[in-house]
Amino acid sequence: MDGEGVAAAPWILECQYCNWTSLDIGITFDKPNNIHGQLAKILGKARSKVSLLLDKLSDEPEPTEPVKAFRADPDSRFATLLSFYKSELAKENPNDNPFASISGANTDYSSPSSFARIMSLYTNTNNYGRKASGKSTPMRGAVDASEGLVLVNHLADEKAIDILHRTGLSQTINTEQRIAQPHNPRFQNEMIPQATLLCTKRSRRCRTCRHILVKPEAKINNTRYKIKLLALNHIPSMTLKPLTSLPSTLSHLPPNKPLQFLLTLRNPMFEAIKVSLGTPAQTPGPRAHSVTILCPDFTLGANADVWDEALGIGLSNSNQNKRGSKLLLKDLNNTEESKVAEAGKVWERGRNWTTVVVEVVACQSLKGPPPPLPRGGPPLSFGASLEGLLEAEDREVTEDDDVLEIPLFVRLEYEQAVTEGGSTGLAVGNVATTTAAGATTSATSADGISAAGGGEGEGGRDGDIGKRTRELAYWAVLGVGRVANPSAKMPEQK
Amino acid sequence: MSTPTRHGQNAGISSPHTPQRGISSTYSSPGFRTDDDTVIFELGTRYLRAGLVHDSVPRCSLDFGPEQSRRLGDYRKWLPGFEDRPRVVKNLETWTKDHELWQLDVRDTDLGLMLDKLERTIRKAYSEYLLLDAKSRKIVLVVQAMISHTILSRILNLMFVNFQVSSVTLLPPPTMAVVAAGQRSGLVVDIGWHETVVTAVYELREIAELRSTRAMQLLSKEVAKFLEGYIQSKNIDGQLSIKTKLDFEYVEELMTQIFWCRPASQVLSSHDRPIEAEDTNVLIPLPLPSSKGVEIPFSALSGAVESTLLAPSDDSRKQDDHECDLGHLIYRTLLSLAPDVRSMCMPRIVFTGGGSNIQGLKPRLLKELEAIIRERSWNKVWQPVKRTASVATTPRPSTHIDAGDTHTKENPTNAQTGAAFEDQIYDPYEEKIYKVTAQFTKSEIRGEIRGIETMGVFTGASITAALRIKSLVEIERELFLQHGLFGPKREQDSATSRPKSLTGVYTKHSALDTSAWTLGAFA
Repeated sequence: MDGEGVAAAPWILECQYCNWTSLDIGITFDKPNNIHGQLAKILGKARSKVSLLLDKLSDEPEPTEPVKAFRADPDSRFATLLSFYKSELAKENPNDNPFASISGANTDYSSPSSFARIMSLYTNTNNYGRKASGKSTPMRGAVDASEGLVLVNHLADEKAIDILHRTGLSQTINTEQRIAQPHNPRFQNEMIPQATLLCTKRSRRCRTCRHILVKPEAKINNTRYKIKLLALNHIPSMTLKPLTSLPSTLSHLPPNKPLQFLLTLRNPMFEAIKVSLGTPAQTPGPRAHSVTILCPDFTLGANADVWDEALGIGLSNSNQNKRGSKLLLKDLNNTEESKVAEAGKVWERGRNWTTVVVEVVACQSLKGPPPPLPRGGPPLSFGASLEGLLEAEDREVTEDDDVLEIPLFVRLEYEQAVTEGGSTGLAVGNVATTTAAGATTSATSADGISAAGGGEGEGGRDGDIGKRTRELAYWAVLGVGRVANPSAKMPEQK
Repeated sequence: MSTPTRHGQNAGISSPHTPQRGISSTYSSPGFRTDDDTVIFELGTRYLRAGLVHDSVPRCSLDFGPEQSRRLGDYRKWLPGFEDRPRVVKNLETWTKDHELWQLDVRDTDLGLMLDKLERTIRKAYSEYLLLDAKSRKIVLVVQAMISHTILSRILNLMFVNFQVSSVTLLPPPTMAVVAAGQRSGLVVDIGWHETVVTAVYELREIAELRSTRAMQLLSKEVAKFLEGYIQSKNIDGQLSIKTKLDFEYVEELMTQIFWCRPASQVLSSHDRPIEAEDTNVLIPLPLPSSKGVEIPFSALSGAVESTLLAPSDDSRKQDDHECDLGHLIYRTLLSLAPDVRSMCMPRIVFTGGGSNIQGLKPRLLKELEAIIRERSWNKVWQPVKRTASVATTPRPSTHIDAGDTHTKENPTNAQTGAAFEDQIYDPYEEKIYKVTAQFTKSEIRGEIRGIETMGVFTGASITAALRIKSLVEIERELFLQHGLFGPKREQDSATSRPKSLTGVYTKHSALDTSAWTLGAFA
């Protein structure tokens, strides 16, 4: 925005990037604030102009001007149409018309006048007879511009084609602009400035139980939350990193080679959790990567208060653990090659975290279509596979086909103390489980975890009152990286 | 056509009856704003338009393209070089799929994905544009009546369960287009994405409907083929491989911006400024980072539109019903109507849908229609002597076109004799009726071809909701969740025999029996 002088009257909108100013379309502002309101007023002036024109119209029919104005300002035609329909509805036998309830306030059934009218139906025979003979005029459509009628204009289209012809693509507007301009303009000079969308503070509810999960403070300046029940505080966070340093970056994973990754789960809760992980042997999607979790069942230790730890409560136990893990890390650094991932064994364990090994064999070729149904005899395996290969060659490659992602089903089981009232509803709404397996991986989210997962089961309800076994299960997605594809040209090598 | 419900009720209105309960606006508490609560959604295959009652245009139009289905935290759209990325090349047959919410063939549609996309879009509309809480609001949903029940049921479920709306009112788009044109009758030509649907609306009832696959989806493919062929033939700097393929966004951008349709005047008369004479080239950018673009003569850009939407195939007998060209489609719909209704619909042809934005298409279609009527009159039996239906070859007399059977004055040129070709017998009573009605009302034009601009389907719904006219189909939350799409008892007879109308809701039956609803036209 740029003003002439310090507080001079005409203000204009100016784009620093493309040098467009609102002077181009003849719009200036009196004040530097409340642009939206001023814009509406400017357009409203056009509207009152329309009504003036329409008044004139009753004397001399000259239909082009209001039609033009209608085109520039859809609100005016809308208002004209609406008032036309209202008058038509009111005209049509206003007393007993079922439409009448929409047309005005005097037909309110609860009002005394209406009551009198209804009573008069029964008493006043004269009125009754007259009305029966009276003909109601049928409703009709708009017949001229004063009622909102706009005809298809042959000349306007020819003019538009002429502009297209002369200026080509330089004056037209693109799809993005067309969508953003609600009045459906055709050329650049017909566009009007649009208000910036306001940002909102939103509170969120659980989809199933309507419990409020997130509620921001009402004050605009305050960025804090009144309620903030994040799922991340209730389910283990996951990180994935390569076990050995890979020969290339994670955006070029070598295909057809077993790769080992360390999956670390960290427990945010104060209860120990039994975790079971499940994953399909072959990932869904265009490429079938095979995935194996070497130790799918393990436990996560309870999280402890940071203060407790610092003050030395329960020191001996956790300290030992820590020392042990440190030692272990040192050992790892020294004899990295010697330590081998073993099936069924946890790789590493800390106070509230556990690391297991995930083995991935990235697949380079695209999945073929599902094998055709056997017709008659058993299909020739060779022929079928060849056909599949041919089909796969022909298949389209989409943008993210080379991304390696692992769907992971996580099942948690833990004991929780039952609080009074039994309101232990877990806030598992929208969980963004992001795994940073490298800088280049795309962040993935497991949207709607509670919907996908089995929800919470409540075992041991009839058991002891103090503790209750809770069960939580959901799907998550681990983003690993991109598979290198030597045959296709890489996007970077343009 | 069955008896008009509204008039039927007016006849019996003088008998005392319990009035329907209207919402009292004067005595309701000031905080309770029933009117403003209603949110209007217009749902199509490509776009969702949303707004509130009394909005003259939708507050937002949101598309279902692949850019909308990016994952949380996927910001690659804003990375430098995103625009110049090597585009994904897709098979021409399936390339529009990513941009459509559903296909006509529901078997291949991933319904879960469809609903997720729709939910995200609706949530975006609520939180960014409408700035409202969706809970316990009334919703007006304008959606094609021919939508698959599977999809409709899921959409309603989404509205009731995820957005917790209190009731959903379904409105048919053709009627709304007519309302937004200021009319009560009309012929709606909806040049949509999958199909072009021509619907005759009489007194706000849909009474006839014909469809054709000649619509924008087909056009986009034809435009792509044309552009690919042209670019290949030029083969600028040898940059393009032999198999040139363009991506959808690029083609659609050009299709909506620069492609046009020759209006009738340019086709007909050679003296009237033929565009070829002063043909200029239009520079069109290529989807390649380094190339400058390719020049295409402007006159060539109208070919794809005309051949896709307008040109009849060589032999109309070989043409399938579902691929009728638009001129004949409109004609056939009009032909199927009763003469009275036809004479009301002819001067109220309303164009809507994305295709109606193509410059020159609307006048051209009107001219095409006039030419067909001149050629065939309103005879249902027609012997195709020689295909000359196109405007380009038919002579254009400037005489007034007759309304239909009732006003046919001239005999057909060939010396056929028969009742159909007799002169109309003078009917004094009809004359009298017209005279009497003309006293009361401004006379409405009948029986000539005329096009009317509509404000769009959304606006029609906005007007309807602003007037608080109840729709035939209004679905309550509790009942839907209990009983599903077809309501507590499926009223087979009433749902099918009742005319598809807005006003049909005022029959006593539905007024009393509020616990049941009918799907009406949507069944």
